[in-house]
Amino acid sequence: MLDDSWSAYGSGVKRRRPLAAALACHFLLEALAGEYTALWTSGRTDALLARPSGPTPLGRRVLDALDTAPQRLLIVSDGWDNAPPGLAAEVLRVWRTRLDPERRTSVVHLNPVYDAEGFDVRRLAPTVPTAGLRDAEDLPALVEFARFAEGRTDLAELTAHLAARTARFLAPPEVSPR
Amino acid sequence: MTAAPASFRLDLSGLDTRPAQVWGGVRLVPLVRPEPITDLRLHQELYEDEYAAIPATRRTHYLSYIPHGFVADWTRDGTPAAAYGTHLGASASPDPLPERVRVRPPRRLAKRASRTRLRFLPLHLALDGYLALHFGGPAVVWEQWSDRALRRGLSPRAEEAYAGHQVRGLADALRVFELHPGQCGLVVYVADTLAAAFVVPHPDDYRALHHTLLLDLYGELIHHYATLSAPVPDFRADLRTAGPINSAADLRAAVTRQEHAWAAFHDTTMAGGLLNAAYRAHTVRRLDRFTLTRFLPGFRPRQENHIGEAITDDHGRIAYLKTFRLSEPQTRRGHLLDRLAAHDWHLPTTATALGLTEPELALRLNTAGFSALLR
Repeated sequence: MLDDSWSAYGSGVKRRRPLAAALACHFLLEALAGEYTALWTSGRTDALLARPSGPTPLGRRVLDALDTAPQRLLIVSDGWDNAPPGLAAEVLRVWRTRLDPERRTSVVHLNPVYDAEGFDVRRLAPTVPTAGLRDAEDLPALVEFARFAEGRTDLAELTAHLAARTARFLAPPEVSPR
Repeated sequence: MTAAPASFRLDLSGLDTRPAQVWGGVRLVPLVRPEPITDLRLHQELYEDEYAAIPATRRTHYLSYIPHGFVADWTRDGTPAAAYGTHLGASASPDPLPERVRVRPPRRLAKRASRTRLRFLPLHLALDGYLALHFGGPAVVWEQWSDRALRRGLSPRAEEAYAGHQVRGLADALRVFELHPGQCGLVVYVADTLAAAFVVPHPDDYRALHHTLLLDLYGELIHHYATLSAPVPDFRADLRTAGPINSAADLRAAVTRQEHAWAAFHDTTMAGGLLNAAYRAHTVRRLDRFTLTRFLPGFRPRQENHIGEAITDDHGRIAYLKTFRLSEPQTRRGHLLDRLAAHDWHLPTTATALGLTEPELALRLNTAGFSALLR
C-alpha cells in the first residue's frame, strides 16, 4: 500500500520526497517479491504517473489490501490517515483481533516522514510496528527488523538475527566469473 | 431585486459530506459532488492560465457566474473593479460585465492588481457593502460611502473584519488540506463554529478558487475564536460499537456505516445552524434553469446568522453558495437595516416600531456607522 496523497508532497525543502520513497519501494518490491500487488491511496494503477494529490483514505485501502489475503502487508505512508481519521488503525485492530488472530498476514508500516512534534515517525496503529524509512534501499532490513518490534520474539532471536546479518556483511563477496 | 422575499432553505442534496480534516483549531469539511454541474461555470476571465481549459473554446453552451467581490479588470481600462454581488450570465452574451463598484486598492496591493486579478474587496468594505447590497435601498450611496470608508475606515470603528490570512491557522489548514476528487465545496469551522460555507458547480472551479478562501473575510468572532481556541480534536473512526465482526464483509459494512454516521452528524448537528435556519430570499436573476438568490437570516441576536448568495437549479439544489457568518454587531446592524427597509426607510415609523424616539434611532444608526447612508 503506497501513499500518493497530497501530503506526500512533503516539505518545500525536500519536495515530493515521501512520494519518491513510495515509488522507489514500489519498484524495489516489484523486483524482490515473488508476487506483489501495489495499491496507491488515490486508486491510481500506473506508478509512473504518480503525483501527490487527494486525501488519504488509508482505512479503505487497507481493507482492499487485506481482501487479497496477502502474506505480508507493507504500508508506506506518512501516517496522516484523514478520510476518516483513525480508520486504518481501527481496521487493523479489528483485523488482528477478530479476523486474523493467528497472524497469517504480517503488517508493517514504513514511514518516510519524520514527525518533528513527536521526535519520531508517526505511528498508524499501536498494533502495527512502524519504522522510519530514510532510503528505499533500507526496506528489506527494516521489514525484517519490524517483527522484533511486535514484541513476540525474544532477545536470543534478535541476537541471532544480528549475528546472521553481520556474517552476511563480512562474508567475502562471491567472485563472479568473467 | 425583482421578486418579493420568499422563504428559503439551503438544500445541499447532490453534495456528499466527506471526513473533516483538522489543523489546530480549524476544521475543514469537504463537500463532494458525484456528478459535477457542467452547464454553469466560473466566468472565463477569472480563470488563470493553468485552468483555462474550460469548454468556452469549444463553443459549448454554458452559463457563467462571477462570485461577489471578485476584483478584476471589469472596466476594460485597466482600473480594478469589484463585482458587486454574484453575477449570473450567459457566456456568449455581448456584454458580460457584471454590476460593479470601482475600488482603489491600497498601494501595497496595487502590484498584485496588475495581474487584473485580485480577490475580494479591501477588508471591512465587503461585509457591510454586502449588508447594504442585500437591502438594495442604499446601494446608490454605497460607492460614496465605500470611498469614505476606504479612506477613513468606518466611523466610529465599531468592529473589524479580518482577511483569512489573519485568522490564525487558516492559512496552514488550507495549505495542507487534501482536496478530494470531485470536491466542489468546503465548510470552514473555526473552534467548531461554522465560519463559512462555499460551494461551486464544478471541481475545476473549486480548485481555482480554493485558495481564495484565504482572501475572504471573516468576522471578529471568527478571528477571536481562532486566536483563543485550543486545537479541536479529530472525530476518529471507532469500530468498537459496530457489533460483531466475523468476516471481511462485516468489516467493510462497519466502515461504510462509520462514514454515513459522520456525514449525518455533520449535516444535522455541526451545520445545523446554517442548514436548518429559514432565510428570506430575493431572487436576483433567473436564467435558463438556474436562479440567483440572495438570502438573509432572521437576524436573531446571539445566534448563528449567515448571510449569503446562492445559485440554485430547477430542483432547488445548490449549484453555487457563499455564506458569511455575521458577527454580533453585524447582526445588530442588519437588524436595523431590516427594520428600516420594512418601513420604507422612514425614520419616524421605524422608531415607533422599535419603541424608540427618533433621536434615539438616529443615535443607534450613527453608532452602527450608517449615518451617511440615510441623509
